[in-house]
Amino acid sequence: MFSTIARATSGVLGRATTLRSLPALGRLGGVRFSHGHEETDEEFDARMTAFFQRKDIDGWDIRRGLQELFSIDGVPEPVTISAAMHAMRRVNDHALAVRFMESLKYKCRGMPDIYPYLIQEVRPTLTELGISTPEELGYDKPELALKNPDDIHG
Amino acid sequence: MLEAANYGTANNVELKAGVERIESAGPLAARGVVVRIPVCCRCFGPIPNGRIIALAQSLIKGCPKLCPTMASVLCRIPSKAKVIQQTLLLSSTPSRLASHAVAAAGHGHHDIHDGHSSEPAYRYAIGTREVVGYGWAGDEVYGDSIVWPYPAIRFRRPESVDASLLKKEKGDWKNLSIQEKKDLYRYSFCETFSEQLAPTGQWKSIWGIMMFWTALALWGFMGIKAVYPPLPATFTDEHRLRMLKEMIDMRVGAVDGLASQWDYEKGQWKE
Repeated sequence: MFSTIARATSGVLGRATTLRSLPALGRLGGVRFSHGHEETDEEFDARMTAFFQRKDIDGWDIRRGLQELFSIDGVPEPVTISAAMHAMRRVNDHALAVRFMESLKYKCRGMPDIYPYLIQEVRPTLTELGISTPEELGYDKPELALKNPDDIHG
Repeated sequence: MLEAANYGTANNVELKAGVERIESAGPLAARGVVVRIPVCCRCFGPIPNGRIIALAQSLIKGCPKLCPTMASVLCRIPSKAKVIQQTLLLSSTPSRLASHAVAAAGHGHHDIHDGHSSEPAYRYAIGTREVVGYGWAGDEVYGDSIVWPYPAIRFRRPESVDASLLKKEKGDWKNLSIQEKKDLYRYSFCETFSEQLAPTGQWKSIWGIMMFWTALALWGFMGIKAVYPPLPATFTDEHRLRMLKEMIDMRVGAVDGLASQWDYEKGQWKE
């Protein structure tokens, strides 16, 4: 798992491939901070991958899992991303996959090399399932504009 | 007038049963049956025998429930008061003091749901939108946020998109065109990430407004400075030093204050 935020703020250190993450969150839906035992990166990856690989997963749980993936100081492994993509295929939600990739790109915003690498790694899954990346849809640039209701000066 | 129409003389069995139950009901708790007792809108006392008296004025105002006593008090022309037979079980306005009741004769479950649907409360706000997740805080709301990428509901209603498109989504995604995928995205979400992060240019208007007020303040300062006379001579350093020397000579604050800090033997400030 890549820890992006720590690296982004200390840019002079350069990029490392993996880094020990912050103390991990607890099991999805379970006790948040289990006493004593810190979940390692591998355990987190394995847990999330297994979570998405459940055959009976539904849209609600996928969003929970994606939100937990998003909430950590790190970017998920390609294995987890593929498992999430397959889960979204099972619930027939293509828009969620695009949103997921957008959130990944946002996660990697401090280190612009990671996102192309991730897409390259999950490209087989994307072509297999027929998922388009946000760039292919043209959503890497703004398409529409919405007036901000908080903008009182506009 | 419309209010009166709800109260009709009913000869049906339920009404008779209801009226009988009112008349025969003793202390409510002991009976085990709580019935809805109509309450006079003016005196808030129970209306006995289910005989609601209405005045023409209260009919117009939509508050026809008056007890006979109050009706006779309010209406000086008794003939103007109208006796309305209360249909207990069909009344939908709960009495103010009496407890909400489960009426007898098999209408119990139905009455407490009068005016309430079996739908959850959020359905009124979001319409037919599909609830898909937990969202920001568990509420069924939609909001675009880069830190909460997956809102609880879809953005649009199912009616706003082709049913054929949703069906096609269930099939192979390779058959979806780019425009269809974009439509699916806009169905579920309002703004993309890049649109949320796009610069708004709001800083220009804020900068302009701040410069305006700053300029106004500077103008005010210059204007005030222009109309004020010059400072008096007492503001100069020489004068102030002279005043300080006079204060020391006068022993101002000899105990705790100024002069106590002055060493009179040496003619200088103390350590």
